[in-house]
Amino acid sequence: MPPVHPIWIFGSEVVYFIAVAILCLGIYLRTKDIYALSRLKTIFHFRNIFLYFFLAYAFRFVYLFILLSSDLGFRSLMIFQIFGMLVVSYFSTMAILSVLMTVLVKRISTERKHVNILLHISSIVLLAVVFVTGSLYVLAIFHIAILAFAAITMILKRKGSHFSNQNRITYILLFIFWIINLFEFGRGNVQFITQLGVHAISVAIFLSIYLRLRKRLKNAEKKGKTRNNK
Amino acid sequence: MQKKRERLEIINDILDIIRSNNNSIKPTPLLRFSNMSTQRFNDYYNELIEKEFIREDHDKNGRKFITLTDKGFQFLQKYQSILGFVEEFDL
Repeated sequence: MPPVHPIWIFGSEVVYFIAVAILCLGIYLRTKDIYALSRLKTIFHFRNIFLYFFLAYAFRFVYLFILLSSDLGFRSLMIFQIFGMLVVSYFSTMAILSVLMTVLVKRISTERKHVNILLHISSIVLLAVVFVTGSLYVLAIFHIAILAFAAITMILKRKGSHFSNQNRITYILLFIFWIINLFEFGRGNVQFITQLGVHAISVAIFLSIYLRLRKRLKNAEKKGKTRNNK
Repeated sequence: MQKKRERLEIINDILDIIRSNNNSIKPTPLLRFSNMSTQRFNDYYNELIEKEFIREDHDKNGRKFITLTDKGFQFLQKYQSILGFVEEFDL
């Protein structure tokens, strides 16, 4: 296959980033009131998944932008590339750990006081590992390990589990497609058409969550209005 | 799941009792209408005060009344949304 011009790759990345950003921020902002009123820990972690994924995708885009600009003949600064890689590693680990917390938090009878600080510390440790090794593949391996842990927990606790199959699948897909996105960093390994497919499926996962949320909230609002008018 | 729903339902019930009493009720009838043990009621009561869903007012004779705050009214309005969201995503 003939090589794809970097401008096409850049264009597809722009569209991909905008779509993910709108959906992630949409989910995060639409649940703002619900969290403010309920203050449930599970909702806190659920919202954080999308906030951190938004930030991870934003810096992933910046990182790719720097790489692509050098392909287009612009001089890129190595320091920005390293910075982009570290920030992506930090926010993506926070997003992945938030997914894990959403799955686990109900199983921990009393959530530890400083659990959130612990998540930040874990992400910083992982960031340091990425910095030392200079490889995002190391990060992907850690994320796969977290995914395996979350999946095993969900399977082991299946009996009497509160998680529906739909939610299990959604969380696992979010994980998997993020990891595939990480591998995409090593551009050239992935064909353009494959990349487009991965982007389309990733957006579809976020879109399905957003639509489920929107539908539920609309129905609930209608129900609430009828109830309050009685 | 059941526990969390139960907790939200209890909060909603307490707030609903206050609202349906013209947004002013004494602590003792509120405890009676809420159908809970004193200990459990006190836990919820303190939580609602802490979250600023309700506040204590005193009349000129010094009698205590409980009223809903704006946040309390908001919770009642959004209760169905909170419940729907928690159910949909198994939170």
